Amino acid sequence: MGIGRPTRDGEGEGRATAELEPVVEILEVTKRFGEVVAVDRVSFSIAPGEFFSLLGPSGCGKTTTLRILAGFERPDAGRVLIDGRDASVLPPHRRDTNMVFQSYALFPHMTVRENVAFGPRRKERRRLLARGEVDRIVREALATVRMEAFADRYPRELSGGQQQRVALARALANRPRVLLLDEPLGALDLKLRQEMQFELKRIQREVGISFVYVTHDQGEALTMSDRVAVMNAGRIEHLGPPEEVYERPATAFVAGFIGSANLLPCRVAGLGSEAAAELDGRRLRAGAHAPGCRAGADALLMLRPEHLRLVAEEPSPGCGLPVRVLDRTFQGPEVRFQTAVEGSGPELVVLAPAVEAPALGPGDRAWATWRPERAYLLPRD
Amino acid sequence: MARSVADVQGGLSSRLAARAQAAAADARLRDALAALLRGAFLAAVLLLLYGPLAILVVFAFNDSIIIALPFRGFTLRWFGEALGNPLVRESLRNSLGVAAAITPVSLVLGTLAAFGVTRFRFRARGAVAGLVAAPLVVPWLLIGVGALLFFNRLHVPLSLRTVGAMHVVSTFPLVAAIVSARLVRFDPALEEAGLDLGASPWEVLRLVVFPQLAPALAAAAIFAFSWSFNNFEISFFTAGFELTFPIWVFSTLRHAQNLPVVNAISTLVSAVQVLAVYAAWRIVRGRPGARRAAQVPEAIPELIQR
Amino acid sequence: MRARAAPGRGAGARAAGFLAAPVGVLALLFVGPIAILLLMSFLRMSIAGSGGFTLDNYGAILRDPLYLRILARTGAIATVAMLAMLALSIPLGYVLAFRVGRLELPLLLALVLSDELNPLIRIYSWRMLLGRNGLVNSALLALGVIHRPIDALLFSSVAVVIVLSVSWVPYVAIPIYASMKAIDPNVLEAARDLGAGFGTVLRRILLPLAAPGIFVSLILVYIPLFAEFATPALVGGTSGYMIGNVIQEQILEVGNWGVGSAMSFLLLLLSGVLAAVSYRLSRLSRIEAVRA
Repeated sequence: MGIGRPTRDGEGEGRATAELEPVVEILEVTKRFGEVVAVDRVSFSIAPGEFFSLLGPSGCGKTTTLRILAGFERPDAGRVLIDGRDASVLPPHRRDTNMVFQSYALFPHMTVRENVAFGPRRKERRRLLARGEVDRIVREALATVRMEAFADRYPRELSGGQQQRVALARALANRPRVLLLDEPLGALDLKLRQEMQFELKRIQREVGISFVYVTHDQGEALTMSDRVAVMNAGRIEHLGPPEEVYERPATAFVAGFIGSANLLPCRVAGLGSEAAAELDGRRLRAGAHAPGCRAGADALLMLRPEHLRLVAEEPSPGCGLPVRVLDRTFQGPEVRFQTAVEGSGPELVVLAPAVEAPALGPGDRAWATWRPERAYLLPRD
Repeated sequence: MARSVADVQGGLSSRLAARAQAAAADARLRDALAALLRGAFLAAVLLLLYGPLAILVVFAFNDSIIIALPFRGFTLRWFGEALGNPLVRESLRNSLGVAAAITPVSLVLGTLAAFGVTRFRFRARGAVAGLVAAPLVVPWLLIGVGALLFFNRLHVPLSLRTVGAMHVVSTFPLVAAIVSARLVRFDPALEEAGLDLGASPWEVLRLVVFPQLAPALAAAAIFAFSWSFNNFEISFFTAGFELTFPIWVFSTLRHAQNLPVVNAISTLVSAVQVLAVYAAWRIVRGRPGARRAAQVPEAIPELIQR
Repeated sequence: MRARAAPGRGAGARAAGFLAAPVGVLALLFVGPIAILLLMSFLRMSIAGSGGFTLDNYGAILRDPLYLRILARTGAIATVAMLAMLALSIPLGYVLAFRVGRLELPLLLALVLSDELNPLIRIYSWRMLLGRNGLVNSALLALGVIHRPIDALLFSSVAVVIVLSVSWVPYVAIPIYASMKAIDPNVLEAARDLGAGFGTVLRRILLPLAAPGIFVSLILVYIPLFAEFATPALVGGTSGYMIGNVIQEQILEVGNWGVGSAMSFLLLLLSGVLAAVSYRLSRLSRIEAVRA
């Protein structure tokens, strides 16, 4: 359902079952700001209990899409369905979504307890909640994020990580159908960020609500998500589970954005089970190819650095290239070799575990080899 | 006398060390002088600002009808005379009454104007903002004279009401400036969070925006009240036969020598003003977001720069 | 983060809901009086009543050397007072912004508080000090600095300049302080590190970066100085008579509203021109400061 690239919804559902009614459906949503098309006919659906990430570089439209879901932006075209009902015209305070803001947006003049109670109190006012319920809900929410001890503090007395948890509790206290998170870990330092990733995942499983998580950090997205939507320039380029997005990216952009990849210009020499690339007169076998590949067309052969090995002897045909080592860098657990393919010259980065790294240095010749199923063909545009 | 190389070198390094020490001592002396100069300068400024008032207070207790040295003796009789004077009492009553009446009106109009200009983008916005700021830039004399002619033309008799009306016109732009400065720095995510959590737009205004505005509104109220109480130029032209406190002081001083009675009542009024502002300052400081109120004096030039 | 203003259709209508009352009040009670002022200045006024339209009022003012002299004196007083306040406020702003540490807030408060004082009480307190038998003269006599009391201290232009300066100085010092506060102290350190002496730092860095505050203070203070009349009335005597006094006299005592309003309108135009020039200069100076 993404433009031009079929998503792998069928294959990728995994934990989230395709048979259940989706909690959220975004259908062909488009949003323009003046001349710029921020969101371009984006569609996807989210299953109940799913951890769904919108991943992409700054300006790709992921935050705008989230805000459209929340109701802060009105789409120029398309519809938003929540629980099957059209929510496109509903203002934010009537939608069954809640957002954790990038800046946390805690009310500075209220204590933690009052912040978390804010949503439930609105419901109490509208008689959607019984009277004693609010206190209980607040207590539960604070317990979930482990912030009960800070209930009577003011936001300015809390650290960044603590504020972030309160923001989460505040959103969860409303029991939304789907929780929206706008780069919530961006302001935290590395160690805290990693801790919080696990926390968030744990909380999501415990609470069982669907999460829509916006981030530009691909490590985060891969770690936490059930499915990832990689966005670029307002469109979804690939939607699928983390392993698929990593090993079988739909486009060169996705391949380059997620992890690092060697992308060797070549031509499609075969498709389907006979997938192969033609590079420098050699025919190289590939394990799979992206949907956009056409026979004979220009393509890119994707080889991830950690899938390559440097050997002295020529390997069996179809899964090796002669290279010359340009540079060798020790990086702790790995050694990084910067090499160039003999002849046509594209550079190839090889990452070898330090314990097995060959003793090769600049100027040495070797063969880069890989298991054929690790090579992947992408269309070149 | 032959001297070894080591001797010469030793002599050289100790000379350098001495020079460095001297330079450091010079720098310390210079710093001390600079600090002294600064202190003297600040003391002089404070003296200029508060000295005359202090002297005025001293002479309020002087047992002599002439305001000159030597100091004759301590007395409280001028205070009694001042407070016993019916004109003094009337003028104080009028000034306080007008100030109390115009402050809420000014707050409301100023807040409405601030919201209208900062929250919406429309074509006439610049013009409206300019209009709201204009009374701050036009000299009060001209506003007063214009008002006098205006009321005359409309056959509206001059009274405390006309004074009040013109006070409102002159103070609400300042309220608007103070509130705008606060509104503009407001994090929009807070309001979005409020909506997101289920509060209606009206509830967001009430529960999220206004509590944040409270310090700015308090500061604005203090400004408006004391501006109105202290105002002379505009009141002079629009009060007709009524007396406000500044008008009373002016008339008394116009036609008489310096009077200890004026000293006495001035002392009382100034004391109350200082205490009131100090008390308000303390109250405002105790609330979250009070730091904003402290930045209010800077908000005015900031706003004018827009 | 700046608050997001809602654009688009309907913004004007929604804004109108908020702005109806304030703009209405301004239209009636601010624009109205100024319009009447303008109107009256063209009316032929006499004690008997008003006649048709005329430019005589303006003519009377512009041709009368007395009025022009008073206007010139007013300009001189205002300018001298403004310069004196700037000379005081620039160092004051600098010291407050960079050199007083913990005392900054109390001193600032003291500055702001001094403006709370009723202006008439302040004028009176200086009148007490500056008279022939006032404290300044008594002290100088006692110290032997002078042998006869200085008469010119009171009921003169000098007295007016002194009192005006002391009255308006907070409005000059605070904007200048605010703009100096916005200067990164590292910039000054860097300048000194690169070898700039105090004079250079002042000329090349402090003044240009504080310029916006200086121009704001001009708008806030220089213009009202021209229209002052309470201070000159109480301490100016005849040699400290300013244009504001003339206007007051014409309107309230002589009853010549035609001339009075014409003078007022001229003063208004002058204020407008000064405001526009200062505003322009402040915008330009900000661009320069950013470029520098």
